[in-house]
Amino acid sequence: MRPVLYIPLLTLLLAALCQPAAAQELGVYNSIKGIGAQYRSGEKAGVFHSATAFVDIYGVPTSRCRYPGYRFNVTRQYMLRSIEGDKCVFSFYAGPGISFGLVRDHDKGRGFDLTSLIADNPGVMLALSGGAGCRFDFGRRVALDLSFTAEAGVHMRENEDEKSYSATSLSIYNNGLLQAIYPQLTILFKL
Amino acid sequence: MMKKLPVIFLMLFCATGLLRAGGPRFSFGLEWGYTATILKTSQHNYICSEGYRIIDNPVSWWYYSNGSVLANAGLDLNDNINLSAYSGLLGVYSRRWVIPAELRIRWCPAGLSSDGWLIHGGAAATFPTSSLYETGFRAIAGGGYRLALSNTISVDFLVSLNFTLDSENITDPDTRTLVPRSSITSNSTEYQAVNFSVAINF
Repeated sequence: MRPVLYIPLLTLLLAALCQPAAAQELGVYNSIKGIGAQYRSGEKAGVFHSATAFVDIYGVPTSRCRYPGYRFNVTRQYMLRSIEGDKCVFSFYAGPGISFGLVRDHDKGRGFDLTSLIADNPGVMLALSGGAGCRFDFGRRVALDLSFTAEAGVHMRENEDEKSYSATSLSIYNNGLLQAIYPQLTILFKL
Repeated sequence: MMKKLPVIFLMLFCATGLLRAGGPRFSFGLEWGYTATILKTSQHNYICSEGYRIIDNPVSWWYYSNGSVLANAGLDLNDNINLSAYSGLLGVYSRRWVIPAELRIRWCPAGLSSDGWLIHGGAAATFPTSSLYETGFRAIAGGGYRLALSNTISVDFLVSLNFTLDSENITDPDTRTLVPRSSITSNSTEYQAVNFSVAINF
């Protein structure tokens, strides 16, 4: 290849590297799952990443436990469609991710039995997640986002029945699936 | 008297010409938040199982976390003032939830449809969801910042001081059983708390 051809190629490469990224956002995460913060990278080629950290309040409102858990999620989101309304732009997206945290779990199947509602079982959770949502951009410095996330993973904790032996219990993380129907509302601030 | 309060408010605004041109606009909203209870005071006056009267007025500084979820419907009385009725679920104490019927007024000096600071205050009758179903009282005062997303949709970040008047189960010091209602002369408990909330209005 002639050296002169390197110039436009290098220019294109530099332009790709130096192009201003779409606005990054910082958000307040609100859900029945808990309250926290979210960072959202700028969209590039129809893809953006979100990182969420929130306080998991499962068991706290029912006084099952006094202290909440902590949950983290990182997701790669793919833009599916964007619709421009009169006053708002609706952007639909979905994508996979990972979740981890120190949380309690609904530990007796998927019913709402008494044992599960009163037992305190903090443990480590690790899961693959899938999420989908819609971003409502009103053209101001704040945007709203409504999303849902399902998590398929495991919950590792001290076995309640074998505490004297310090035995470990490993089970499916039930709340990851049970709480998939909980809406998540994020108030996003454009940085 | 409580039932007449909204009417009196409306009449006052009408009389002073504060109502917006074209009539008030309906408003709706959702609010949720975290409540940190920091002070609990009680006044207990009862006859114990031994037959003598006990008057106990404990005061305890104790940090206790709770939550609140409220829905509201109301009127934008003019470009700066909103009057709304709130109800939902409020955590007051350990295993103690109440359903409030609250009337709250919000004043946004920069305008209800603009970014800016706001002040709010309200009063509520509270109805406990579990034992001791006596109606209580709650008053809040605070402020926050409003971010307007459009002419009709806005997000509020709020901080308020909460005062809740409630009652609690009194335990007999000798038998460790609950004192029967017939032996209680007075039973009131007050909770002072700070609340941090987020609200969406539309």
